[in-house]
Amino acid sequence: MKNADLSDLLSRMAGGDKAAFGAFYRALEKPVFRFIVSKLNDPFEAADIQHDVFMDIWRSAGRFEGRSAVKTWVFGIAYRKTMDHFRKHGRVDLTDDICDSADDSPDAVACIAATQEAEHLRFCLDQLKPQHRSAVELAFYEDMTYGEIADASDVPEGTIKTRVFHAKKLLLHCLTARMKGVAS
Amino acid sequence: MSTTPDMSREEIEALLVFLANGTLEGPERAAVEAAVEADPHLARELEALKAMRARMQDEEVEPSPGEMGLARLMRDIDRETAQPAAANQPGAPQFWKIAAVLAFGLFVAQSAYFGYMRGPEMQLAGGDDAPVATPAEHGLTVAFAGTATEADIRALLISLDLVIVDGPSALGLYTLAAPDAEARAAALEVMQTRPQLVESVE
Repeated sequence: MKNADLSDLLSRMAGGDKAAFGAFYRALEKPVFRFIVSKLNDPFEAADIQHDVFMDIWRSAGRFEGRSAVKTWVFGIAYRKTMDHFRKHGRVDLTDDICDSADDSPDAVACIAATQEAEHLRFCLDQLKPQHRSAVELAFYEDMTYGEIADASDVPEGTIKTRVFHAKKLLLHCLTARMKGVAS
Repeated sequence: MSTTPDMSREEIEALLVFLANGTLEGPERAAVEAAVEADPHLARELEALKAMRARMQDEEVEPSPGEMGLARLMRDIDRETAQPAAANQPGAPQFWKIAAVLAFGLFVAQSAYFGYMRGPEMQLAGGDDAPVATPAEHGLTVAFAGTATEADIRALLISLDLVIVDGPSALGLYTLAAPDAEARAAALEVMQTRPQLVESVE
C-alpha cells in the first residue's frame, strides 16, 4: 500500500474510523510482527508488543504530522516498544561480541551462496546488539533508506551509518568463521 | 570516475548495505558504485550483502497474530471508547460482562447436555471414528482482565492444563477446555482467586 493511502487511513482513524484501522492493520501487521519477533524469538511476547504498537497507532493517529513516511513512523513506534522490552529485561546491553577469532577475510559470499544455510545467518544476527540488528533488519527486510531508519530509530543518520558499518563487519566475520568451522 | 571526495572508506562500506537494498541514490550511489568497481574486496562484500538480504527476505517467519490480533485490538479499542460513558456508571461494564459470561455459560452447558444426549455418533467433520471430546464437556467461559498480557494468560492456562477452544467472541469471551471434570473444578477455583487476570469465569 502506498504512503498516500496509509496516510489517508491514518486521517480517517484520527476521526474514529475503525474500518480504516482494520485496513491499516492488515497492510502493516505482518512486517511489523516480523520486525518484532525476529528480535524476541518469542511469538507470544511479540504479539503483546505488536498489540501495544497498534494501540499506540490508534491513539496517536491524529498526531501524525507527515514529516516522515507512514511506514517509518510505524516502525519507529515498534522499535521503541521493542527496545523498552529489552530494557525491562536487561537485554539492551548485549554486546556485539561475535567470532573475534575470525580473520578479516569477508569471503561470506561462499558462506551464503554456497551453503544457503539460514541458520548461520540467524545465529549471527542473534549475536548483534538490538540497535545494530534493527538497523540491518530495517535495511534488508523493509528496504528502508538510512534516512528512514534514522527517523524510525530517532537517531542521527550518522549513527545509523556507524551501526550498519559495525553490524555488517561483525556479520561477515561471524559467517566466515562459522563456515570455516563447517569446512574444517 | 565520479567520486565524493569527503566520503571515508568506513562510510563507503556502510553505504554498501544501501547499495545492496537498492535505496542508495545520486552522488552517493555513484561514489559507492565506483569504489566497488575499483576494489574486488568491496565487490565481494556487496555480493555477500545481496545474498544476505535475499536470504532474509525469503526467510519463513512465525505466523503473525492476523485476524485474532485485530479482534483483540478492536476489543480494547471498544473498551477505551466505552470508558468515558462507564465513568458515569460505576461498575456497569463489569456487571455487563459478568452477565454475558453467565449467558454464554448457559449456552455452553446446553451444548454439553445436547452433546451428551446425542451420544457417541457425534464426531467432527472429516474426522475418523475415534471418539472426540467436545470442547464444552469440561468447558469454562472466561473474560480476561484488560490488563492481562498474553504471557500472563499463557502461564495461567498452562499451569491449569487448560486450552482455548474458542474465542475471543464479539464480547471478548473465551471458551476453555479442561481435560476432565476434576481439572475443570480446580481451574475454576483458582481463576476465581485471580481477579488481576480473570475478570469473570463461569
